[in-house]
Parts: sequence; structure tokens; C-alpha cells
Amino acid sequence: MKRGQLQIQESIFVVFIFFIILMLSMIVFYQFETRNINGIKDEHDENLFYHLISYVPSMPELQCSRIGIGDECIDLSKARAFGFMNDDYYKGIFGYKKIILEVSEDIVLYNWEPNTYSGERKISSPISVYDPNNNKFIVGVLEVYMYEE
Amino acid sequence: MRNKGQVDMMGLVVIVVLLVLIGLFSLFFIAKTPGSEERDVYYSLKAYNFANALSKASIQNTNAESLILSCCEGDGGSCSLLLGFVEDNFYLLGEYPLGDSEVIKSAKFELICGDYSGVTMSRGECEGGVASESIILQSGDRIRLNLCRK
Repeated sequence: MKRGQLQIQESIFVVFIFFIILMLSMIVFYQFETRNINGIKDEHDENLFYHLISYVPSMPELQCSRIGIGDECIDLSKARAFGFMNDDYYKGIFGYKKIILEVSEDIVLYNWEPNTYSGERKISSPISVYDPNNNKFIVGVLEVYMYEE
Repeated sequence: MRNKGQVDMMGLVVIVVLLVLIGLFSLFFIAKTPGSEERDVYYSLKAYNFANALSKASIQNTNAESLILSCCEGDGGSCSLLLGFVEDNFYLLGEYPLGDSEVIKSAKFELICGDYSGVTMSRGECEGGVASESIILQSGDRIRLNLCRK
């Protein structure tokens, strides 16, 4: 081969290697970004899950109130009524979860179970519950289960 | 025997490989442990919920707020009734059943009397951990709860 041909081959080889390295870098970068975005999504889901123990007691459907002013507690009579509701509206808010209020009885506030799930995670918190029949405040427990698909 | 150009090229390749490795290690260490901050927020909410529930609770024929007021005015009976109630409810903080010794170590309830006398009463053995916001009652007395991570 002539010297010029050799140099052209060398140039082609260098460009070829450069593009292979470029493609590998793009694949690594894409995977890294995908993992990052999934991580942010998981973090967001985790945050939403943990905040349910604060969000659920402050829902107007459950929150106790006096002369229209909301208080930081769950009204037992509202909770019992809420347990009978089976509204698809809440599926958009809570997703695949189970929410239980434990007082002297267990009141299932919400439950939407996927057809198959690998496990469930649980968080719980003591919560102030107002019983309007006895005009007493008791310490109940709010349990939130998240079904893991 | 390699010529100078080849040796230079090898050196360059080694430097590039080292830089890539250092970059990968940095990325690995920059990635923070997932979920730890969220868990602290959860403990903080839980501690606040519990302190709030205790501040409102009806205890026998009275309520926690009256007991706190009497306790801070020096009524020992009210103090022991209140702190006994708090301790009896510590087990509610566990997501799964805990033994008695674990229950007492999982939280610490503090009552700080508002008369600036420095009187502080507490129950539980959790030092540190995640603290709830202080709940200031109408009497000026404050209650607070510390929750230890498990």
C-alpha cells in the first residue's frame, strides 16, 4: 500500500473508534439519566406516601370541626361514613393503598388492591380522634399500606 | 522497542482511563442514600401527630390540657396521671409490636411549664432522634415529643 492509502485507513479507523466511544458514552449517559429520573420519581412517590399521615387527617371529609373551624383531628362519625364510600375519585388521589383508622374498632377508610402485588409497606401514626357521641378525644392510630407491584 | 510516539500515546490512554474511572467513582459517591430525608420528614410528622393527639386527649373525666395546667401549678397527682397516660400510649408509635424496653426507648415526651420556672417533666428515654414541633397550649405550657429512628 502507498503511504497516502495507509493514512486514509488510519483516519477511517480513528473516526470509527471515535464513534464507538461516542455511542458507548451516549448509552452510559442515557442509562445514568434514566436511573436518575426513576430515582426522582421514587423519591416523589415516597414523599407522597409519607405525607399521607398528615394529609388524610386534614381532608375535609374526615377532619373534625367546631362551628366550621377545622381542628387537627379525625371525626369518628365522618370516618365511619367515609369507610362506606367507594368513590373512584379517591383512587386518583391515593392509588394502590389501604388506609385504616384503628380506634376501639378498625375502620377501613380506603382500600384499592392491585390484582397482583409483590408485597406491602406500612406506615402508621397515632392520631387524635374526636368521638362526637361522647364528646371525647381519643388517641387512635392511622395506618397506611402501600401495595408494591 | 517502541518509538517515542507510541509511548506518548500509551501515556495518553492511561490518563484518559484514569479520568474516566475517577469520574465514575465521583458519580457513585455523589449519588445520595435514597429515602433518608423522607424518612425524617415522616418521623417528624408522626411525632407532631402524637404530641397533638396527647394535647387534646380526654383522660378519665378531664382532658390533657387541664392536667398539664394543674401539673404545672404543682399538683403531683395530675402530673403522674398525665405522664402515666403518655407512657401507656407510647406503644402506639411502633409500626409493629415492640417490647416494653423498646417502647420506652422509642420516644421521649417533654412538658415544659410556661411560667419560666424551668420545670420540665419528661417520660421516655429517647435522646436525640427527630423532634416534633413544640405545641404551645393556651396556658403557655409547651409539650414536645422526640422520636428515635429504628
